[in-house]
Amino acid sequence: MLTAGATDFPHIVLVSVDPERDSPEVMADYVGRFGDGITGVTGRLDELRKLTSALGIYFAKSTNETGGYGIDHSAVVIVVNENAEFQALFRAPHFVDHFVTDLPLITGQK
Amino acid sequence: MTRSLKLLAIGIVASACSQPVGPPLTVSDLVVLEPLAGSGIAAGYLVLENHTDLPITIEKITSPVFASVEMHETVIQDDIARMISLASLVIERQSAVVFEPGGKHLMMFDASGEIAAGVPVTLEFHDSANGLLTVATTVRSRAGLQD
Repeated sequence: MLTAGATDFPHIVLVSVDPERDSPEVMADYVGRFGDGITGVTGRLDELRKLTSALGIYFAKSTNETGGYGIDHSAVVIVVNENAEFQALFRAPHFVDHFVTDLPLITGQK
Repeated sequence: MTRSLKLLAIGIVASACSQPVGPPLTVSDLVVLEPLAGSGIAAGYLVLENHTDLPITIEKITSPVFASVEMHETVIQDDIARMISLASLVIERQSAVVFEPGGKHLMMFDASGEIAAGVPVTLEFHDSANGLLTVATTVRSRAGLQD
């Protein structure tokens, strides 16, 4: 996919805002299924709030009729540069073509 | 006499067309994925098809293997993703509902034993009009899957 013509493949970081379910073990299992070079991150809620607030990400816990819960969250992919500065945001719905076309432009590889 | 036979033949065909053929509700493409390590929650995908001329309501899904089976739907609205729990599901006449990654899906909780690839699983669909539909499959590995 993106490796064609690209010199630097972006480092992908998947942040879970559900640390109750997504333990480090679960995250490692999940991101490992998408190949190498993907980092799964979660943490204490107060730490996650700091990160998501800085990035403008919303998340909230919601309970359902069966007594379980879900996590409502922003469905966006955010691109940050090497200096940890906001670079771009992909809104849902997500299509592979959008990333293939736009990421090289955003990262200056085209 | 010939005319009578033709009329009779037409009558039989029309009658046959109005009779239900096959089961009212079918489940196909059922996949039960093993839980992610440490999560204990299995996911399920399938196609439910209503072959009748009336809506069918799935009131609940049960399994002897899991303490609870829930129907959920992931919905993205105004850039916010939400997972909605479906208390029941209506399948309109002569139509199908697809459970797939990113949309409607099953979540299965609290298995009575280890849920690993190859383990047999039975699901029971409680249909308001036609009773119980039981389907069986085996758990599928997540290896090579990206959901």
